[in-house]
Amino acid sequence: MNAKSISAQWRPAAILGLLVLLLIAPFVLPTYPLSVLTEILIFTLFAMSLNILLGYAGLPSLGHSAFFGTGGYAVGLLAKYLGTPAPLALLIAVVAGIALALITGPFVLRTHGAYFLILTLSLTQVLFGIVWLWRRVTGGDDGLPGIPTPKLPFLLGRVSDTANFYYLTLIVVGIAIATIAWVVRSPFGLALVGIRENERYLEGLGYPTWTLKYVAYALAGGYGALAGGLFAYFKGFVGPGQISWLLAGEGMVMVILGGAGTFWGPAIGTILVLLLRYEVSAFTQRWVMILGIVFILTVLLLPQGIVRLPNRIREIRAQLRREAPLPRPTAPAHHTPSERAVERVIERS
Amino acid sequence: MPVNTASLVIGLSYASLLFLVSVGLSVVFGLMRFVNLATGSLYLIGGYIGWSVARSTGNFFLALIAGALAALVVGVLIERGFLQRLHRKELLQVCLTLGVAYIVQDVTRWIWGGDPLRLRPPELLRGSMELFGSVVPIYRVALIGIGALLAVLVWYLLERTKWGAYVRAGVDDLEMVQCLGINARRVFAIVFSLGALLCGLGGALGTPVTGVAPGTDIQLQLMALIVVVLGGLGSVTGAIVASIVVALVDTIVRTFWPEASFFAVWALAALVLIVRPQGLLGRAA
Amino acid sequence: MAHPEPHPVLGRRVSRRGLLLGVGVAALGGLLSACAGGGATPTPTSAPATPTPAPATPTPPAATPTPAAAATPTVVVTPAAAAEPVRIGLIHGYTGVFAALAENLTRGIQLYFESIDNTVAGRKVTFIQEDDASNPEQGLTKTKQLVERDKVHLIIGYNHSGVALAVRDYIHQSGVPTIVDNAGAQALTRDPQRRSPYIFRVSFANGQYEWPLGPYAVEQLGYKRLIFTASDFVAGHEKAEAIKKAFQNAGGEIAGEVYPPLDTADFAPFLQRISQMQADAVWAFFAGADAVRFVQQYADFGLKDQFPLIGVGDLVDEAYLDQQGDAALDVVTSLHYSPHIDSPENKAFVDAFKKKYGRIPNQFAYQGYIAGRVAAEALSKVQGKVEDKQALLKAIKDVQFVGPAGPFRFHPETQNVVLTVYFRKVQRLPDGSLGNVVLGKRENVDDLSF
Repeated sequence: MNAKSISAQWRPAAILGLLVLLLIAPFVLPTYPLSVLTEILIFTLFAMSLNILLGYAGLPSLGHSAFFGTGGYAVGLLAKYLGTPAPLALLIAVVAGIALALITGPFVLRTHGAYFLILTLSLTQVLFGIVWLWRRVTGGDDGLPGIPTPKLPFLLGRVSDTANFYYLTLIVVGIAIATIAWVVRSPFGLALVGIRENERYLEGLGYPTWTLKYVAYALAGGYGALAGGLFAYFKGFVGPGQISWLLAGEGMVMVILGGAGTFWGPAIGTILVLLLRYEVSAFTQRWVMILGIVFILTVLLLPQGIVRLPNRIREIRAQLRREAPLPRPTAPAHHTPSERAVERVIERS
Repeated sequence: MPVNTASLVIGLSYASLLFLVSVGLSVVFGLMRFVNLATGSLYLIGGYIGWSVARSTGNFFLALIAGALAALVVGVLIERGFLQRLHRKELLQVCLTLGVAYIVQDVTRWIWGGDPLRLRPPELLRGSMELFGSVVPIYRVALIGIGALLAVLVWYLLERTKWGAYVRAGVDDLEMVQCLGINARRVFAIVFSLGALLCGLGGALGTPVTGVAPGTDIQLQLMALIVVVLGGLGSVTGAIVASIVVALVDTIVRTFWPEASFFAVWALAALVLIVRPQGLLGRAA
Repeated sequence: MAHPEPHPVLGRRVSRRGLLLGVGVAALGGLLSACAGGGATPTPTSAPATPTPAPATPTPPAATPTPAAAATPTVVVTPAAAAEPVRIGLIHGYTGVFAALAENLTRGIQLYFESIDNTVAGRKVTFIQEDDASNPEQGLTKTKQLVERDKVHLIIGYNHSGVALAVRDYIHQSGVPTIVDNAGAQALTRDPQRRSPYIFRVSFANGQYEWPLGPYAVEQLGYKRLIFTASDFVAGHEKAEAIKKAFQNAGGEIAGEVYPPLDTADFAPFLQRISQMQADAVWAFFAGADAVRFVQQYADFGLKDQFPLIGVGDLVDEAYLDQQGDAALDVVTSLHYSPHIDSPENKAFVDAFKKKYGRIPNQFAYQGYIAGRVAAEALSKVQGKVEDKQALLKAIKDVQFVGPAGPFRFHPETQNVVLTVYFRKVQRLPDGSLGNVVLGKRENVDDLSF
């Protein structure tokens, strides 16, 4: 395919450009947009971690906020009771997220589809209830305020506090995203896609599908908790809202709007949702409705995510040129990349 | 403390509401594996429209009809407009119905404001009565009656009629039904609309008990999800049994250990799915 | 058996990543420019964020407030700058469960400012309204937006305790004078470690208008044994603890406690539990939809004949009385306000509110009105020179006037309002509607009195 070779050529340049933009952002942006950008980075990590489940492994989790909140509360409790330094606290947050996933994994992975969705939701609600009611330790619905924001020592005094934490976030999220990229492109990642497409087939080929899903669940939990830990530091507090299933739902929406199962889709979905939330709400109280309309339009017009917008435009243009409607927009070329991924898996085995 | 008649009446009247809200969701979920996060919104619409009609006409029964019809209209719109395209795409369904829920939330707040509203029961059903030595509101007893009646009706429709047989067959094996030349999409559309109708009726019937306010939709949505899961794959019997189990467990926990009631039903749902991944009365997929 | 339509849940075609990245970069660029471009900045060139040398950690409040942190650029007061309007940020949860409450607060604020033509000492006042959705995370972002992008001189808002606690450190560091108009979290003013010279509260601390009902119940109503019930969240417990202590100190006895979760669709089971206790009366705190349901169901289950219902004013707020109907009759509550307080100031406020909005003001409209008045009085005291922050803070602290509910002043140490608490009873008014008729009052109740 011609377009593909062009895009492959441009990819390194685009990544480089993005990195440069992100690195110089603190020098061109005032503090408020910079803090929104920080939040976008953190939620991008959250959405990408959820995408490992939703997009790659095909596990529709509506409880990913449990990991986000676990990371946040790990950081909050450690800061409040022990004064743990940030790098160690973040590490413990990740371990806590992975541990939670390893404990709940054997149960949730017995279910499928909508049942998986509702079991993950139920477990998250139970965790939410514990946090809400255990006021003495967690602060109940008031949460734990006053978490000191960590700073990069080598930037102290050179940039503003906002920029300092932004760079810290950029480094942590950048490394995390790079490792996610490595994971999903590894044979392990390809096998996950295979499971999503046809689990029994992969099983027949001798893949330990259950173990693969278990590992994916634990990984997603770890990355989710890392995002939650960063978020708690960023906001300086942690509260039950960071466990709430509404956050899990929003994460799900970010992934789907952007394009589940694509690498950059969740990032685009995150940008869209957060900008709608923060920018549109500055203009109108009707932002909730606008958010709803955007969800619906995206599902109807770009069911495979905003990431697909360029292709979709091309499809529609081609359609117009032919002046004959294609049978269905959702039934395109047979030989899709994910099918190719499965084939690649099969070839390896 | 004994579980007395009043507790039973409370539990069963709550079960009636839960049944009305969740039966449609349950059957649709069973039939099409369709996850509808706008169920609570239909309840909200039924409640608000019912309230307005009752206020302007003073007639409670007109309010019930209006509430149910309003939810039906919205349900048909959702089904016709969107859902037909999203067969077996759970993620897109979640995203889309969440979008609908957002819009309904905002529009209702726009029209009715944020203050909680409450419908008064009709004159006939106001006040309390003595029932086996306990004081219970008459309206609650009536709710049980209405819930039971509708449960029997829906059960008969789905379990004893030819049309119901199509639906049940669709739950078991949708492709097979389609191979037999039955228009499964139409069956689905009718079931969905019927579910929306019952849900709106539930909203109007429920306002004297729960009231309507921003947030009522989320509460009912979550309860409906639990009922559906416990009930398993789209069986009416499952929805009835699950409504009663959830409502009674909820009532008992609330009576004896109020603080735990927040997550008791969720713990129950999680436990059931851990033990039986296909739901309480569901069959293995 | 394979599906005839074997579509996966998701899109299958992984897209051409390079293009995507391009889109991503473009989106990012768009975001940056959008953010940078939006919002009115007083200076044409947006000042790059200067490093903050001063308060790295939230310092305990000194007797005199420290100079503003560098986050807000110090503006030299020139005649041109003085002519620009005073910018006040209004931040409440306009969407979500507390939407009605937020709207009433805002109505009160606007009503007051309209009464003075939105002008203080010849300087126009403009409002920038933001929605925190009663969500702490969003509240913090929106506060940053108000401070850093819109460069507001003053913030009025925060209806939600979680939001107020979450933004406390940020406000303390950025040093924007802030008037809290509803959030009741005790720590915000009562805790010496959490107070801030920049934060004032015109509404109440949780428990402040609840506790006087304890001694009142013993002495005036003759209740010796009370059952306490409240929503199971921090505010509910703070309020219940305050009155429980005061009630016991006055010689009362706690007969039982029940804490239903927030957003309880059906209170019946809890009412069953209450009905099997022995007591003289029930004290309750519920707000919003919970309050409407609780009061109605309390009557439905015949508990009103068993135990009289007393509690917090929120239970029988003017916005709900119409919905509650006879179920609310005879409920005795304590609150810092009632529209039926008999004073010329209150009559003027109620009439003005009714004229503009066509309904009776409730406690939240009152709080908003007071917040607006405090802001306006302080602004006029400094001749509209909001740039002199120390003078403005001092002016706010010194505000004193006689308002609709009696004398208003701040406690000098906590910067929280000193209230007159009213004991009210729901009765049928001559015009046939229900109202909270004042039975008595207790003056000079501050937030350290419990």
